[in-house]
Amino acid sequence: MNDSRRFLHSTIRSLIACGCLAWSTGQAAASQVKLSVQLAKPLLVANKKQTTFLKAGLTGFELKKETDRAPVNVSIVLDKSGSMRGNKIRHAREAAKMAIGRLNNDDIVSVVTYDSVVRVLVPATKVSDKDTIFAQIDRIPANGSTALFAGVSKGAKELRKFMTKDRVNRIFLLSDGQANVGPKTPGELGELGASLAKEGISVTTLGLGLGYNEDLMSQLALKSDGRHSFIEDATQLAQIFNEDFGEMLTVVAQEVEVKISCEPGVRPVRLLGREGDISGQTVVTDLNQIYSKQEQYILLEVEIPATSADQQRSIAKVDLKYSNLETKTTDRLSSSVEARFTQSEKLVAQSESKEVMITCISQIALENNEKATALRDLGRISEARRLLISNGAFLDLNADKYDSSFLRNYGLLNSFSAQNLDAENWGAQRKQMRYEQSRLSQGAQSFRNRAGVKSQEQLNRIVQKQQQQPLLQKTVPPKQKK
Amino acid sequence: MRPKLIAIFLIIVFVPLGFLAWLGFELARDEEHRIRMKFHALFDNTLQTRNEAIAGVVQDLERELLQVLELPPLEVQQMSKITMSRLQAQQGAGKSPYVSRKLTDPDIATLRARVRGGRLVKQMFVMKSDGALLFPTTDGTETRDERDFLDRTRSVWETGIIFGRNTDNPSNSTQALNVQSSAQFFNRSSDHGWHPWFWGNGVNLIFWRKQANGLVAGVEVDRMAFLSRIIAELPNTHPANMQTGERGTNLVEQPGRIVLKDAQNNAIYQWGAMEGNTNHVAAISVVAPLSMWSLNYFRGDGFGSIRTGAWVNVSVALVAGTLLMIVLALYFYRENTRDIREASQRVSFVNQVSHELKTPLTNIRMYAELVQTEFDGLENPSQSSREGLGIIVNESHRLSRMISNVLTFAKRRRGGVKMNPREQSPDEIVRATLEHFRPALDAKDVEIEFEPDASDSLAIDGDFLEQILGNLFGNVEKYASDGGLLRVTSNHSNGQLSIDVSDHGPGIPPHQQEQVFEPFARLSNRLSDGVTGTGIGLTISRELARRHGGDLKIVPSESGATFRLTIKGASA
Repeated sequence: MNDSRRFLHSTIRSLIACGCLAWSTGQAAASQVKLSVQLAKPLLVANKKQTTFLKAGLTGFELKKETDRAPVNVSIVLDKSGSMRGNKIRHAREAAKMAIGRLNNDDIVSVVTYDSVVRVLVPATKVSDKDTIFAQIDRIPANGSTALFAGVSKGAKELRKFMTKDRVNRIFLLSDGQANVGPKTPGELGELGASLAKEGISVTTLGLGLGYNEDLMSQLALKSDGRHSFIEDATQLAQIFNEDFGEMLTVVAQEVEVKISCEPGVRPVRLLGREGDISGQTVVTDLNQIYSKQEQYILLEVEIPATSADQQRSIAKVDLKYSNLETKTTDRLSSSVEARFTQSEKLVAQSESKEVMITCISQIALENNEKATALRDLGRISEARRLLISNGAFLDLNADKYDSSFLRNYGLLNSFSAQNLDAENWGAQRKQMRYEQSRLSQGAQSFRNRAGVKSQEQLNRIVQKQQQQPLLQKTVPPKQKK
Repeated sequence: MRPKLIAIFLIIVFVPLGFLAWLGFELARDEEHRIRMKFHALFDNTLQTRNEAIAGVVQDLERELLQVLELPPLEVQQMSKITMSRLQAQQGAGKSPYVSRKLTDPDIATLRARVRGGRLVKQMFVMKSDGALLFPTTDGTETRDERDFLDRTRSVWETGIIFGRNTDNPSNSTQALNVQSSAQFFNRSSDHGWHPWFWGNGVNLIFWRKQANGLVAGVEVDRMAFLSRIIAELPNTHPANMQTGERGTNLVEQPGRIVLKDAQNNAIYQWGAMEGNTNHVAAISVVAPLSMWSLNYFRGDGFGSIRTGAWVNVSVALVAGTLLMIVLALYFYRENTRDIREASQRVSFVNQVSHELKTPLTNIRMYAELVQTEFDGLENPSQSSREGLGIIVNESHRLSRMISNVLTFAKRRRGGVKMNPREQSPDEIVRATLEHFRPALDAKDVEIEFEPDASDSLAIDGDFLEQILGNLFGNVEKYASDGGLLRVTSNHSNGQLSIDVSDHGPGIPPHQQEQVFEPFARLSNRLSDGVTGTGIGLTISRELARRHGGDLKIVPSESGATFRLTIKGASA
């Protein structure tokens, strides 16, 4: 009882501290990124070396008016290789035009197409004469092979022409094929993405159809802190393109640097879902941008030394630095988190933060999901299936425990994935999984379903129906009938 | 005459034409070669320009990297004893010697910030003058990326390389991969430089720069960032040719394709709308430190179009030449035959006129002779009327001879001269003909001598003989009346009649003795001055003699000219 009161006090204290910090920035409080630092269990078991999770959540502020959004500098890089022929190129043209239609005079757009060579169709220009741009886009035919690396490089070059800190610099890459001219491995394209991220350029990759390399496209997006989407059917192209395009228009902060300094004795173990430098007590990670009203988080596993009961211990200090696109200032925020220790296991369990736990569980499930993908890639189908099913069960269990519809849905998606590991469905399913993984690692709380799956309820029905069938039926290879 | 003309015609046309064609083809081939060389120079030049552009980008990147390596003075500190003992325990005795010194934490933070922010930087390192790495170190404070870097670059450190210091043994470093032109980049005296090494699937680059305290700081260049920046600065493909593979209309507008290839000969980047890479026309290696890359120029069938261009020109020239030659030949041919044509036109005209004249002339002659006979019966005829009548008769005889000549010539040309032989005495015919000429010759004081020795009758065409003799006597009257003598001797032996007609006139020069038998030939303008005639008399006469199985020719004589007519009788 005593412990719980103390915990309350400390929480109130830190809340007040946070408030003061917010006040100190004055009236502009509404235009600040919200930084919240929490431990999965603020109350820890005493006298025991243990690990727990630290979550630093960054939430973009709300734009007062939609017109207040930061101007964008966007390069649309379109694959016009032979495989895009027909419906795909037509939808791609429509999607690009629709997206550009949403821009206004302050924005800058360029359009780059690539097949075996790269053409800069519309060099970086202010979006004042949309008709001319549209006319150029309408001319795009489809033929040739796929110089993806060069296409992105040229898109980046167009962005560099108008690169300013107060713009959102973004490449939209649409491809339906394998890169086959120039660097072509996911690793190499990931490296390109990472180097572009250093310049403040993110690449949003849209994989169209079933022919593209999802590893390459998701790596390029993740390493550059852009989005990756899977567009199974060309008719969805305009819609998904525009969702991602619209999200870009809500960027409120850029050049985000998060530094977590662990207090002496506390050891940072690893980051979940995200990359960063861990050196000694310090963890540094960068985000290219923060979107309005979206939370992105850094999840750090920390090892906390044994501490006696009723002690209070500072765990870590989090420093956030970012460029605020609304106030056009570089803002800094910091926050710290501390833990208290108790003998009571029950109190420890009670103190558990539902919010942090949900993110932790989703990130652990993500790791399992990635492992399952790797197993399936090795041809170990039944192992992969078993892992996905147990992952689904794990998520379902925790969905009940933490009352999280997100975890439940992700559980369903894992179960659904488990049913689609056969050669016939794997191509599309793998792409969907890579999409889900990329989004989850960026802290997404929802996913787009695969084409044909209209709603979560429908997905639920499909999975339930499939689970009723004995698993073996699917695992027995048809060869054995001979 | 005809085949010879055609042969001349063909020679005139085709010999120069053949020469022209040969010259043209030689010229076209030369031109093609020249253009080819020119284009090759152009291709090389284009590649060189691109290479310079790459060199420019490399310089920019080098400047950027120099800035990254513009570090505050780095401090080296002793490692804490605890760390050292831990390291010793970790690494064991047999392992490579650990570094007992390290950089200060602020310096390390500076370096890490540069790694995070430097867009070309994959990792950084700091090396002591003895080749030992001060950063990154494996003392437990390194990040995962730093550990990966040390794993990746193990092959570099194992060579014992010391950047900025002479490592004379070239096998120590991978710089041997580079051609010598890149020496400037590996200049030992310089305070910065490149170092390439192979890892993964391609060449990687280290860029180092000397620092204070004898330290060297270096950057592992982010290969993809580096490549991407170079590609960004290379030309795009022009969006005008949206259809890849579309051909431009001419060689300059159709730039072919330039391909940047890596050491494994894989295309890294390419531009130019031409698809297919059929014709590899030029290649150069890229500037250091990328000299294992190459720039390649590919063209379509551009050279084919050069050839057709030249060949078309040559063909056009040949056709024009042929036409010109034909026109020229025709012109000369027409010039050559104009005289003949004009003469035959004259003949054909005269022929028509002669036909019309023949009947009235016969009447005139007949009645004039009738009147003459009546005159002879008169007792006291008027002398002047008698002479006038004689002239009428003579001139109408001459006229009818002329007409019969023309008609014979025209008939001959149509191939229709018919012989009509009859038994008669040649001497009689000669005498009668001489009688016809007597008044005219008398008027010109030409004495007539006749030595007849052919009184036996012979089957000959009297009209033709008379015509031949008429022509010969007429010629004497016209051209040789100055000689004052017309001498005729006849001889008949073995059915061969021979008649010589001589005069004492100016004679015929030997080189023209055959020419006079050509139609319309006259000996000279001087001779023909004031003399009329059709110019066919001798031609006709020889023709007629030959039809009689004889001939008419000029035989040598002491003075003047002597024509010898030989005729064979139809029966012996």
